[in-house]
Amino acid sequence: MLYRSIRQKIQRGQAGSVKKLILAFAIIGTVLFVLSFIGWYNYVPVKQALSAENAEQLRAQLFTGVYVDRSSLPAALAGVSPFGFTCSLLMRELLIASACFFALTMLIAVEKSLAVKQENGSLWETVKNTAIEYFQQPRWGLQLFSDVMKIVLMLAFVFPFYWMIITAFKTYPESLNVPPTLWPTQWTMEGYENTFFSGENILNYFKNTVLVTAAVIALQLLIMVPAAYAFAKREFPLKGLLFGIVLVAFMIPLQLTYIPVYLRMQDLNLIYTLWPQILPLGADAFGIFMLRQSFKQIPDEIIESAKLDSAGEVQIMTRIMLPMCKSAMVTIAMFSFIGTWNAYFWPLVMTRSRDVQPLTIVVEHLRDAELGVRWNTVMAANTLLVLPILLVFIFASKKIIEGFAYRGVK
Amino acid sequence: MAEIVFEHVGKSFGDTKVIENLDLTIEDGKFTVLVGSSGCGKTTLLRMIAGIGPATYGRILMDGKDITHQPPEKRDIAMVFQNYAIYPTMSVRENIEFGLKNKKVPKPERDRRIAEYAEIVGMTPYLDRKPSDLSGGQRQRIALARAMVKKPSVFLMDEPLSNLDAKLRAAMRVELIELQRRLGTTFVYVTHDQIEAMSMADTIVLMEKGEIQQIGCPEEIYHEPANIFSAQFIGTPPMNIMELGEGIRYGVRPESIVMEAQKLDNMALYRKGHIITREMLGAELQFKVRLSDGGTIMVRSPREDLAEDTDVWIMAKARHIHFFGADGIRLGHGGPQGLLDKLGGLNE
Amino acid sequence: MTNVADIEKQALREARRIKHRSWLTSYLMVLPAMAFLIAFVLYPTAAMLIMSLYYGNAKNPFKSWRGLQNYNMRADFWVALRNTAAYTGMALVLVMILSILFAQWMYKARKLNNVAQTLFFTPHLVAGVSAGFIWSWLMSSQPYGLFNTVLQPIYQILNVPSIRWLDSSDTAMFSIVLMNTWKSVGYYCLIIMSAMKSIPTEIYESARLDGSSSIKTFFKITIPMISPQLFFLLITITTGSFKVFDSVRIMTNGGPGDATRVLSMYIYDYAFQRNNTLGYACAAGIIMMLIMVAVTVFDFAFVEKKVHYQ
Repeated sequence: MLYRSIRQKIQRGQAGSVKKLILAFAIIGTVLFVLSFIGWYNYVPVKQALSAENAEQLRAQLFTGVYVDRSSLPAALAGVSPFGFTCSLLMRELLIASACFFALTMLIAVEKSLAVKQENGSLWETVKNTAIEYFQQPRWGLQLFSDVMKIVLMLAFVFPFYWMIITAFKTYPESLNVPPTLWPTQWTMEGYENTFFSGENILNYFKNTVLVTAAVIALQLLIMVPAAYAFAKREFPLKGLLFGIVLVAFMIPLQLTYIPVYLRMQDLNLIYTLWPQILPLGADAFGIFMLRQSFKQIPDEIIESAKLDSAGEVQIMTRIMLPMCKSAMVTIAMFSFIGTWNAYFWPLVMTRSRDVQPLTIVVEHLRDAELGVRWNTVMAANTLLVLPILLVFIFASKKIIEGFAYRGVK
Repeated sequence: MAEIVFEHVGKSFGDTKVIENLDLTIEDGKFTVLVGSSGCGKTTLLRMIAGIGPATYGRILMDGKDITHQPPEKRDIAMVFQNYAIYPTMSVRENIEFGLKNKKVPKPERDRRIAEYAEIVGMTPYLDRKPSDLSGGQRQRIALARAMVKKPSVFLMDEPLSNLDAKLRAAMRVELIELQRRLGTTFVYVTHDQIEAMSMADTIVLMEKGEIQQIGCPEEIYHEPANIFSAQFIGTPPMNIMELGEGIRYGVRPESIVMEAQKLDNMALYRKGHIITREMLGAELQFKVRLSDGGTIMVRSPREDLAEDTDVWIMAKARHIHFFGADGIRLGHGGPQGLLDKLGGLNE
Repeated sequence: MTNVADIEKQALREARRIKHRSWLTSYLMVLPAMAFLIAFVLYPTAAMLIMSLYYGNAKNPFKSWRGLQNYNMRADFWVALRNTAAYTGMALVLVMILSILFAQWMYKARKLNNVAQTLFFTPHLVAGVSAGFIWSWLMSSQPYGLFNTVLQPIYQILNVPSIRWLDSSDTAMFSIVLMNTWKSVGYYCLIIMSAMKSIPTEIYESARLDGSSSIKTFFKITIPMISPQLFFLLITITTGSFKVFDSVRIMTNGGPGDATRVLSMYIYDYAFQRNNTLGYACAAGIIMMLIMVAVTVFDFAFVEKKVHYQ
C-alpha cells in the first residue's frame, strides 16, 4: 500500500517529495548497515563465547523484551559493550532490514526513472527510434566499429575488478586452476573468513582506516577553511609572505619530509597511536589553494551587504560563506577521503604496531602469510578495501568526476 | 530622514589619490544622483556613506552626527549593489529577513514587514524561491525589498539598473522615482548614465577625477553647464565646442542648432556647412555636418527633407550659445555682448 | 574647538582598535594552517637538510658530523635514478599518447561516451596497493596467470617463450608502468576531454570552411588549444612518477635484482632498513627534491613558452 502511494506520487510528478523519500530510505538503510557492522565487529568473541542454543535463547529473550542478566554471561564477553553485544545478536536481522531498505530505495529510483522515460513514449519505441537514428547517420559502419571497440576497451578496463571479486569467492585450489576459471565452480566465503580468523582480524584494520579517514577530513576542514577564507577575503599585514609559505609547501611532497616527521613522532611517543597518520595531513597546501579560489569567487559586495545587514563575523561565515562554498568543501572532503583511505606509503612509514595499521597494510600482511600467497584471501581483503570507494563512486560519480576535472583545470 | 555632509574628505588607495579635499552636502529627503565616468570617485563616496570603504581623512556627518568611524551596521542606511549581492544560498524570504534577524527584530514584526515590502516590489508569489530561479529584474526587486525592509533613513544605490535590459531599465527608473516620492527618504544614487541621472534626480552631483564639477537640478545642469566638461557630459550627442580665438571657446548643443537650406533672420551664428551623414532616429534625425573651416559638428533636427551631400546653413540663436574661458569655465549665460560681437565677426 | 578635536581623536583611536582586532581575527584564522604547514612540511625539509650532513640512525640521527660526504652517492643510487628516469619516460609517453587518443575518441557528449568516461576513471580512485595486487595476480608468470593464459595462443603462433612480466628484469618496469597507465589514464583523459569540450565549435566549423582535413585540424587546432592541459599533464606525470612507491613496492619490491628499485624506495630502504645510513638517505632525498624542482623549472622555462593560453 505504501508502495502504491509512492507510485502515485511519482506519477503525479511530485519529484521533490520522492527525492526526499529516497534519501530517507537510503539513510535508514545506512544506519541499519552501520549497526550490523558494529554487530559484525563483535561477532568473533560473541560467537566463540556462546553456544548456538545459548545464542538462540538470548535472541528470543531480546525479542520478547525479557531482561538479560549480563552477569550470567560467559566471562569472555566482559570486554564487549552491551550495545555491541545486542547488535551482534541481531546482526542477521539488521543486515536483512538494511538490505530491504536499500532494495526499496533502488526500486523507487528505478520506478522514478521509468516514469520519466514514459513521458517520452514507451521503452520499445525509444529503443527503436535510437536504432533507426543510429543506422541513418553517415558512415554508421565506422561508428559501429568504433563503438564496439569502445565497449571492448571498457570491459577490459573493468575486468581487473571483476577478477578481484571473483577470485575472492573461489576456493584456494580453484584459484590456482590451469586454465583459470572465469566463473567460480564452487562459491565459498573461505577467502573472507581467512581475513578474520587467520591471525589477522581485518575489522581492527578497517576500524583504523575509518577512524583515520574521518579524523583527517574533519581536521582538514577545520583548519583549512578559516585559513583559505582569511587569505581570500581579509586584509592583514604579512599576508603575502604567509601565502608564500603555502605556495612553497605546495611544492614539497610529503614523500620527502617523512623522515624528520617520523623521528619527531617517535620522540613524542606517538608512534604507537593513530596520530602520526592524522596530524601531518592536517593542512594540505593544495586544498587551501583551491578553497581560497572558491572563496575568492564570492563577490565582495555580498560580504559588504551582509555587514550592512548587521551580520557579525560568525554569521557572515556560517550563513553566507560556508553555504556558498559547500561544493568546494565537499570536493576537498572527497579528495581527502580518497587520499587517506588509499594511503599506503604514509602509514607504512608512520606505524610500528599492527594495532594502528590501516587496511592497506593488512593486505600486504595477508600476502606475506607463511602459507604462501593465498590469492583468494588477498583478493577478499582487497575487495573490502576497494568496495567503500567504489560504492561512493557509484552514488556520486558525477560529482567526483567534476571535482577531479576541476583540479586539472586549475 | 537624514542629511549627509562631507567635510574635507579625501581617499587614497595606496599612492593613487581618488578624492582630495571634497566638501558636499546631500540634502535630506531628496533624490541625489552622483554621476560621472568610471573611476571618477562616485562609488567611493557612496561606500564612505555606507561605511564599507572608510575615508582616508576628513569627516562625514549624518544629521550633524559624526559617523566617519562608525561601523556600517550602526549607521541607519541600506544599500543596493550593482550586482544586487543577493545571498544565493538563501530563499527570497530569508534574504529579506536576514538584516532584520541580525537586528533582533521580533518574529511577528519581521513577518509583517516582509509581507508588506514583498507586496510593494511584487515578489509575494516568489518568497520561497531560491534566487537562482529568478530573472535579473526579480533579483533587482529582492535587493530593493531587502534594503527597504530595514526602513533606513538613507538609501544608497550603486548602479542598480545597469545589469538590466533597456526596456526593464526604463520601467524600473519610473518605479524608483515613485518609490522615493512615497518613502520620502534620502536617496543617494550612483550611475554613469546621464539619462538616468537627468530623469531621476532632484539634485545631480556631476563628478570627474575625484572633483565635483557641478551640483544642481537637472534643468540647471542642462541649461547652465558650469564648464566644458559638464556641458559635454550631459546630452547626446555632446555639445559642439568650437574655437573663438584667444583661448575662448563657444558651444552649441546639437538639438539647438537650426539647419536650413536658406539663411534665416535673427540668429547670432551663421556658418556654411555640408551634410556628410544622415541618421534617421525616429522623431528626429542626426546629421554630421562639415563646416567651411574643415571642422565637423553634430546636428539634431526634425528636417527629413535634408539629404546627404547637400549644402546647408548652420545657425543658432544667441541664448543657445555658451562661451567658455581658457580654463573651461562658462562665462555667464549667453555670454557678454563683446563675445557675441566677436562671434558675429566670424559669421559667413 | 578642542572638544571637536578630542572627539575626532577618540573616534580615530576607536577605528584603529577595530582594525587591529580584525587583524587579530585574521591571524587566528590563518595560524593553525600555518602551524601545521611549518611543523609538517617546512621544518622537516630543513631538518632533512641538516641531517643529511650527519652520520646516524633513527635512534640517534646525529652520531657524528660527515659534512658533504653523504652527497658522494653510491653506485646503486645511479641505478635507482636510472630506473626512476626510465619509469618516468615510459609513463610520460604512454599516458600522454593514450589519454589524448582516448579523449579525442570519446569527448563528444553521447551516452556511450559518458559510460566509458566513468568506467575509465574508476581505477584512478582505487588504492595503488589494491591495483598492484590485482595486477600482479593477473600478470603472474605461473601457469595460472591470466594474462599468459590469454596470450598463450599468440606465443605459440609466434613460437616465442611466454612473457615473464614482473619476474624478468627486462619487463618488470614496463609491467608496472602498464598497471599505472591503466590506473591513471582515465583521469588524465578526463582533463583533456574537459579542455576539448571547451573549444568553441565555431573554430572547427571555420576550419572546415577553410578546407582543413580532420588530421590537420587535430594537430593545428585541437592540440594547440589544449596545450595548457597538456602542460599540466607533463608536470603532474613527471613529478608523480618521481614519487612512485606504492605499486612498485607491492608488485616487485624493487626486484628482480635491482631492476625496479626506484628513488623513493631507495631512500626508504636506506632510511629505515639499514644501519646508520639515515644521513645518506636524507642526502638522497634532498637530491631527489632538487631534481624534481629542476625538472619543473625546466618545464616552465622552456616548454611553457610553447603553450597557448587564451
